[in-house]
Amino acid sequence: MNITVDAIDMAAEIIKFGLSSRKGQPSRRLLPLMAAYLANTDGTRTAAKTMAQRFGLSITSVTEDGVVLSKDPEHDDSIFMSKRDDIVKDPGPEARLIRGICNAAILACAYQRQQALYSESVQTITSDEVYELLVEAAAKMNLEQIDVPTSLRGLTEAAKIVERIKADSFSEKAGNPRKQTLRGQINTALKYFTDHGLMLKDSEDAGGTYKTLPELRVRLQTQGAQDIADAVLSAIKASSSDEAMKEAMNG
Amino acid sequence: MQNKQTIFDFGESSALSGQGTEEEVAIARDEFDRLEATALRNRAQTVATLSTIASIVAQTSTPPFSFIDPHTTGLMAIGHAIDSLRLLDIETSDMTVKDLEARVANDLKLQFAALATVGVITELPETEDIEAWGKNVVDKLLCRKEHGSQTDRMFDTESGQFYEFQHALLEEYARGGAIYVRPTAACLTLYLGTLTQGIGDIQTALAAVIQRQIARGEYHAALQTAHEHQRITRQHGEKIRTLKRRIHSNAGRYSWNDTVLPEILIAQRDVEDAITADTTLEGLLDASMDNLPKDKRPLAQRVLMVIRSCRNAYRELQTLAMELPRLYSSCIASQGFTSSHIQLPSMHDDVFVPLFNKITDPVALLVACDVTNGSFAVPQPPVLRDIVAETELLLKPASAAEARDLSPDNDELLDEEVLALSIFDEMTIAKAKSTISSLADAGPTQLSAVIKELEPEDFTEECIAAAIMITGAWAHSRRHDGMYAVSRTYGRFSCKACTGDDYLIERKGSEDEYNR
Repeated sequence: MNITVDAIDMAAEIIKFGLSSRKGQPSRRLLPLMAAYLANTDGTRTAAKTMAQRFGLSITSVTEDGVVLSKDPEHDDSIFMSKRDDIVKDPGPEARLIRGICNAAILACAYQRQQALYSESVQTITSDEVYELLVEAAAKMNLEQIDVPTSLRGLTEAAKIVERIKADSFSEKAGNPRKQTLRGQINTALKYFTDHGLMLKDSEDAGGTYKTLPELRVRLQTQGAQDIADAVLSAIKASSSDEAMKEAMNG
Repeated sequence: MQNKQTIFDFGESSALSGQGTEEEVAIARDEFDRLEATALRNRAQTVATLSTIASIVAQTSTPPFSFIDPHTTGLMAIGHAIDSLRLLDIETSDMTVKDLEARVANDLKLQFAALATVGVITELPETEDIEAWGKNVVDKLLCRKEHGSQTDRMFDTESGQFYEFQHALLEEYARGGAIYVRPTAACLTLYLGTLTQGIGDIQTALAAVIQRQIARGEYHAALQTAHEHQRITRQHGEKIRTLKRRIHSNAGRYSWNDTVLPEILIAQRDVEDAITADTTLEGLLDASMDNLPKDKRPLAQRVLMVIRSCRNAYRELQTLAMELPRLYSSCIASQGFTSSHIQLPSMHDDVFVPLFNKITDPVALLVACDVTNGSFAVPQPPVLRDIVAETELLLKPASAAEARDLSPDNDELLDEEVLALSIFDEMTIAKAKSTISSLADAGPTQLSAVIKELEPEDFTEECIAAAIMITGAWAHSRRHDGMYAVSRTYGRFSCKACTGDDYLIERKGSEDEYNR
């Protein structure tokens, strides 16, 4: 196929759209770009995909709503890559654990039903709702483990963390939840979503009301949801083999 | 497909009785049963969707809100949402949730005024309360989680099985980082009353009605019917665009022969019928306009305008429908097999619950959490924090040839002042230096204070020059201007053009060993 200079120009523009921060109305310019990409006019799609791949990116979707780029799994050293530290700023595994649990709860609230991931409708979630989901889940575990409520031994790791930080504490000046509390951590996690064009903060009601934007759905639909579910599955496997080994040693 | 459809198209099927063999009658019977089952399913779904409106006024509501007529309120709210759709760009509306809430609050005020007039209530409720109720009504219509489930279990007589039916009257959608509200396809079907007949048939019937009304001179009625016709045009557009969206999102899931092609053919045929009907109406109106009495003309003009806008909308839809086959093939090519047939996991049942309840190994949990966090990582372009490079870019957006002239000819390490001279004129540097020394001579000062002194008077270049000189002095462990010691602080300075670490500037005298 002969790729024209125009096509390369458009391919570069598509990647530029994907990398720029997505705020405000999608540009009208996107429509001709989308058409050229879908129809692969003069090799626009071929050029865009090749260029993105060289940067360590892959083009997830090109629609009227915008361009979604994601990490190319086979390319680890790209300068465009987000580092793990970009998402969780605090050092140490503790912060990563808390953020992971908060993110899982946020997603569970936003896409409660499986069909919600397929539907283009905007999903609404509140900070309170996420907090309650986590605290109730931990309380339920607690009830099932009546023998050792004080030391929290026997609870799962996630429940232990929630039990430890669930107590509310608010800053004296602005009345915001303190950062190290569960509410504070949920808000920090939600802030990442809003800062990166994945969600929109709608109001301050119910601890903060948020709405999902198309990019989040696209990310989950194309790869994210499956990756997360697979990771959870293999973690459960690791846990059960670990348990079995402990039991064997005790027995 | 075409054959089966004509059997029930009684308008042109006068031949049916003449040529009907027993076999054909049997086929027709099956087809009839199927249509009956479909009609029943549509009606059941309509009732389910409608039930939301009845729940607008909860049984626990207190007076005066318990006196509200929920049905009119709900239908008016939906009417606002439908009317906000753009005719030529049917899928998008400009109405935000807040706009809709305000309109519903207005509608409620009308009802309360009427209630007060007949003496059912003694005084009007507070505006705040009415607004809260307006919000409540919209929330119900959007079927937000906290206002009850959107999903009902329903029974299908054709397959003899239960199925899950998700419904809502309004839905929110995002466009360019803002959230708008629009009616769902089910809502349009419900509100516009096309329960079992095809949209194309209804439009043709409406056109016939308008024609009759015009012939009788009932222009008010004709205008009303024309508006109905216009609303159904919106619904028609929504139907075609839904097809387009489905192809866009996952073409592979829909088979060409069973789903896509028949739908495209029906859409194209319906649109052609509607255009023909509208063109006929337009001709009729145009021809009769001159013979009309003067008082009827403005009304007839309005009917004509509405019909014309519908016809224009249909022209657009026609183009859209004609492009669908090409879109389908290009989507199949670009989407490949990657996204089709993959069952997405449930974020609640497959992710959250097992993550919370089943993982006991901390190391395994950390791995799972890292994947969860990492799947949102948005690729970020690298950010350059090179103050000199940024300054050059800011001050010299010159051609490449000019930029080369400014760059040093050899690789010798540059003194920051030599470089500065190539960027700034002497006046700029003198002004920056004098500001630094005048502040530092009075006592220890900071770079940010110097910037603050310069910036309000639009000495932006001077700010940059000062920042470069001070940063350079620190980087080379040398005194600025021979007598000012520079040490870095944890603070930051910023001006219009640049930002960076803040420095403490102290006068130390000229006897220092570093002095040149």
